[in-house]
Amino acid sequence: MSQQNKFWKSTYIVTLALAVLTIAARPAYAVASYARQTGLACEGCHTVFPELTPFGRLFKMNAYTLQNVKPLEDINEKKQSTLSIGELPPISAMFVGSSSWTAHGQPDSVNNGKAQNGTVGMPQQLSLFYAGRITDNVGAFLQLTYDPSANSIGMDNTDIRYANRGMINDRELIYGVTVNNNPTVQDVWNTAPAWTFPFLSPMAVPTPTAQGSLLTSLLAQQTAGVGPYVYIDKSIYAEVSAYRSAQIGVATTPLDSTTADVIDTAAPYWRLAWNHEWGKNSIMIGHWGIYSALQPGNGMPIVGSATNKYTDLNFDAQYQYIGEDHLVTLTTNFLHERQRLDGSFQAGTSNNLNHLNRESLVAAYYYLRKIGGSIGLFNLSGNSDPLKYPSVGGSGNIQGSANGSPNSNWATLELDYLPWLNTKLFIQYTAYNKFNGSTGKYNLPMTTRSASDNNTIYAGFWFAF
Amino acid sequence: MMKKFMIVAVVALTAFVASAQESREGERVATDVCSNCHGKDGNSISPLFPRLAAQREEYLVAQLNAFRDRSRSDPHARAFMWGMAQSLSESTIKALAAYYAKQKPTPLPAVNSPLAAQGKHIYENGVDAQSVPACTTCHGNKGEGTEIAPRLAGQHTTYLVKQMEAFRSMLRENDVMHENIKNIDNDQISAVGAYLGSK
Repeated sequence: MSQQNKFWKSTYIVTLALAVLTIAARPAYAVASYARQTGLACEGCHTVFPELTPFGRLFKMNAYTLQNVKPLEDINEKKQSTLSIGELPPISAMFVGSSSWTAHGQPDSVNNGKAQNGTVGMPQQLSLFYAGRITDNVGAFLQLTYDPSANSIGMDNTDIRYANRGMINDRELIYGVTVNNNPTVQDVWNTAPAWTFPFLSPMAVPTPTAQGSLLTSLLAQQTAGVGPYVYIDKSIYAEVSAYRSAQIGVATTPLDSTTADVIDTAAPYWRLAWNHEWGKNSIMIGHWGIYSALQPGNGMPIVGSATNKYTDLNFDAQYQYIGEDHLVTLTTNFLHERQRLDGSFQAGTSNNLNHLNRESLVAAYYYLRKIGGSIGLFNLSGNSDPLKYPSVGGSGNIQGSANGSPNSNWATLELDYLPWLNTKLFIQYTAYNKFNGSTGKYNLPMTTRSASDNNTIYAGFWFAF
Repeated sequence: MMKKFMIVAVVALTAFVASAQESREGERVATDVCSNCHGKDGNSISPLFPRLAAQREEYLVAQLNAFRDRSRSDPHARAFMWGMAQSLSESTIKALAAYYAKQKPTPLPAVNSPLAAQGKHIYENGVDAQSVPACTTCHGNKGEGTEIAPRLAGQHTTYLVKQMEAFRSMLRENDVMHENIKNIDNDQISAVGAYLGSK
């Protein structure tokens, strides 16, 4: 391997490790300004935040525009509405404080013994939202997040949409257009990667390397997508969107060879779901997919270079029972990701053809929306690629893989107590059966760390106000 | 004569236009907003939300006003209807009530269980030993409602049970219902709910 290739390989590994740690700590959200705008308590839209009820899904598909407070209004000489905004700006905040511990302490970053075990986030995350109606048919979910690891404030999840309603052959129709920065953030079911359990993940703990290399992880908050959607008779949902790179934190514009994972032209995303509601029950069976050719960056010209092509095909289902006292949610996902990595293969940093499968099964139960929890089983598998999932020595040895396998499986149990509907106290435990290809010491001979050494206890509080 | 006729015609036309506008407003709000929970035409799917089709107009007006001025304060009213009703005008309340009163309830599957039969007996005869009067007195022989009490026929059983429990525990305000239902037990509530939910 040439010196240049070694340099890019090292850069790739460090970037991936940072991405894994950053993405793993990214929670999902629920906001109070929607409650102020609609006059509905949290339970109108959420079972337990941030999971949506059937009404919450409609609220989102209707572009967050339902309003029950007196607006400031204006009309023109033809009595057409020209302004309809709330008297108070729809501003909300969210605060997450937490601490996380691994079963065995992690190594010091400069190989100087062990680091402190028990990473405290105070905050782990602080977010400000503009979340609410902008016009009669346009609403937004805009999020600014303070990231303590970077000590900076940045753009987080964004979904701005237009929606309207109509009838076709006596069938109710909601139709609209979403503009967003994260494929699946516009989705209304809690199977979508942007909105699925675990909604909160611990800070600064090792997570399976391949998790961060999934396409949706690479594109989250680094893209801009636009697309139309329809929801017919609360039964059929269909959407087609196209995404382009809109990376944040990148100094050079336009995007060039110094930036990795830039979408070549545009990435199509599609979603089709069947929904049925009866009694206190609802069920969704659906599919989403995305295809994207990504420029590998790292010195490869942005135009004309071989690209890394990803095709994601996901099948998901959700069942909800929402009773007065008891609430149950079951979700499952089957994701197949095909990777034709022409760019990385030429650079000597991966196989040419790879695939990853990710399966999840999550069950949640709450009593009186006050106490309950979730248990999730997760499996990540694919072919070995020692270049993409390499054995890593030195300070990064907690993320490496001795056999180049992405295979990992784990379970996460979370118990929640909500003294108020907008306050969640949680304790979560994640246990790894297999980590980066092994049930035992997964990164020999670099380190003797075992899969179960990464088991993590994570506890904290989450306020939405 | 012609002048008088013109005045009557203008007044009649104005009333007709106002009525038509009110009707359209009722349908618009019902379709755009209320249908999210109460279903198309007021035939809700989820038993968390009552079926409003063919409900008595005067009852709907009274309830919407009670939500708006927050005099009805059971937990479900606080969570959902306080917010939804807070900016409704008098005319919209009337329009909504008129709209739902005209809607046709979709039939529910008939239930011939012993529980429903027991409920029918309680509904029609009351329970003398517990000082529970017959429900028919206020709610009509077939649960169709009267000027003083709401329609109950075809309502979700779960919703009816929840409301009867709310009256019994005084979570929901109504002096008459507090008195009538204070001695009824859980099994009897379930029976009455099963009977009315199957009508």
